[in-house]
Amino acid sequence: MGSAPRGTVTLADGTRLADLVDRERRTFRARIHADAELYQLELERLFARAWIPVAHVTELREPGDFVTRSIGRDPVIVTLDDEGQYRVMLNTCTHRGAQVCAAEAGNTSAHRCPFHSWTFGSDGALIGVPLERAMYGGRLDRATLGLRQARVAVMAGLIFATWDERAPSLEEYVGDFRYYVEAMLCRSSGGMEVAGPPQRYVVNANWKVITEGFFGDSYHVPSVHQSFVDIGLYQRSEAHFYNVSMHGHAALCVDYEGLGIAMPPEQLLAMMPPPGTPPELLDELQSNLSPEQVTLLGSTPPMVTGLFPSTAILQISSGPSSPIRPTISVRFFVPLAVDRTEIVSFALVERDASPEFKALTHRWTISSFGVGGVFEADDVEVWASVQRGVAGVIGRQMLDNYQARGTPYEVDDPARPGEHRYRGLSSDDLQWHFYERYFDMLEGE
Amino acid sequence: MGDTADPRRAPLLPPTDPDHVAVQLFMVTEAELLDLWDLTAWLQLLAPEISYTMPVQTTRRRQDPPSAPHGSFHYDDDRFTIELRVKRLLESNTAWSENPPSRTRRFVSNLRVRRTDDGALHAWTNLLLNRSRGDRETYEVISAERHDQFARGADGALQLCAREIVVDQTRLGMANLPFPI
Repeated sequence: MGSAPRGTVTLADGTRLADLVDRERRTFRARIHADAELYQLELERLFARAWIPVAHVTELREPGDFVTRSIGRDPVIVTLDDEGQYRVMLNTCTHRGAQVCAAEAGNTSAHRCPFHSWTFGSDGALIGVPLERAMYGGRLDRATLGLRQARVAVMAGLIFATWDERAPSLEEYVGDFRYYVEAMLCRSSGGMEVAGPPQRYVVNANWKVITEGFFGDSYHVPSVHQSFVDIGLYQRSEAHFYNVSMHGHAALCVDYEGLGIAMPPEQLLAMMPPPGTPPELLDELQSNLSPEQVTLLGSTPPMVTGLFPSTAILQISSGPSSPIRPTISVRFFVPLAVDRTEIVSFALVERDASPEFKALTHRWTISSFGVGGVFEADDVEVWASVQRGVAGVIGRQMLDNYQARGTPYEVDDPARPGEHRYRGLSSDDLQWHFYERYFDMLEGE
Repeated sequence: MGDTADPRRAPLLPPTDPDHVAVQLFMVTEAELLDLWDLTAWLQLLAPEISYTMPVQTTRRRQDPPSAPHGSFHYDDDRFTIELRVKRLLESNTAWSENPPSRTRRFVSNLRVRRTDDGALHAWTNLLLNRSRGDRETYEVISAERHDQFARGADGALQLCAREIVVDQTRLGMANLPFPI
């Protein structure tokens, strides 16, 4: 990580990938959002290698439960097998390539391919071949003809998969950033659950144009979301953040201390519980998290967290007096094409919250973010606008700029650990670290 | 919606029934107001206690239960959130998703009106919504069935008190829904 050889990738027109980025000036060519060749490279070097979250554990409760998702452009079945193991398997028949599962969710003990009825167990093993003896004699090696399996690991309720047999473990991939992920998703004993199936919608923009916004771009808020100031729901004010980046993962945290709201963490949490947490679960929060994590949530709570490369966790609060209630969501950005991205957006709720609290949390999450969200409506407009802006011959030569450098936070602070830390106004740092990791991974090997 | 029997089992009102006529008038009036962006007038058509939902659809096999045990939504609005949507569009010039505004065209058809035993008036319509954005020659499309429930206001006029929009797509091609459907 970070030590990959740079400059080994050359594109078809002779351009070196390394020449598209200027790591000193913090610019890159907009071509990376518009070039289908680079998109293909991303599928091979990023999406087929990174650990990609594909589902939440509460989508799969009984053996045989499945959902279908995508890793890059590869369709996968995510399932709980009869032995209670999570499986992520290519949704592609090992005979002739048809998809063995046509539904988006359901329960089945076997996936039967409609083409020639090769049939696979919930663990992906090939368990049925019509006329096997007559047609193949003894020549069919069933053991090698199961559905292609990805490596699977679970963290903070998310089921991750990678196709790369040599990739480091998920623990290593997320590294110490796990501290922030668990502070957001592992606060209660009962855990979080999805409020229902995810919202899915397609935006005509490159996946990075969308994703980078969830890696620390607080600068867009007063501009893209100005309508909420116009109608009097928000006041224009200077915002303060604690920003942290580790291995490309990023957390944008509201800095209540910086905003002049200094009080003991427990007191702040009682006044303003984290999004999704009802007051009656605050005791559980304190016992499930470390004292440092409690301090983090009670002084600089993570608001938007990005898991490299293409996942975001939102926990956005408008403050205790706002009529807008908090949002709590996890979303995957799936690269369908160089200029098309699917958003798979889950509303999360605490399993042990009251039904009324769950419904309220769910309602405000989808009313704020998601295809019907009043905030995200304007983000979507801008994302698609960027894609049109950089699609042309001249447009893709343009430089994207990330020169806004934040104030490094160099205090030895056990509540706020990390590789790159900043505290103060908005900056481009987290997004830039995302792109550093991005270029490293594309150059990797 | 309601805890009584499936309202679809109630007999269809004939097109000559005064309630059918009133609902038909409501539907075309509403579509006109929305297509003309007269959202202030549109709000007048809603009952004070309005429920306005668009459930998420999933592709499932015939042999599996038709929907997940716990549903989720693209819209789950009440009066407050609907007014918030409208206010943003009418009182701000920075709701970028609709400035410049889209041209929208709502085709509302296949009206079915039923009166249940408790006297409640239900209507089902098919909706085809074409949205033209900027200078793109392709339309963004919503195809859906809407199930509406009506109450009568103090003046006796129909008021929409519940709408469920059952959209046909599981993965929406319209990437934002900033306005009422």
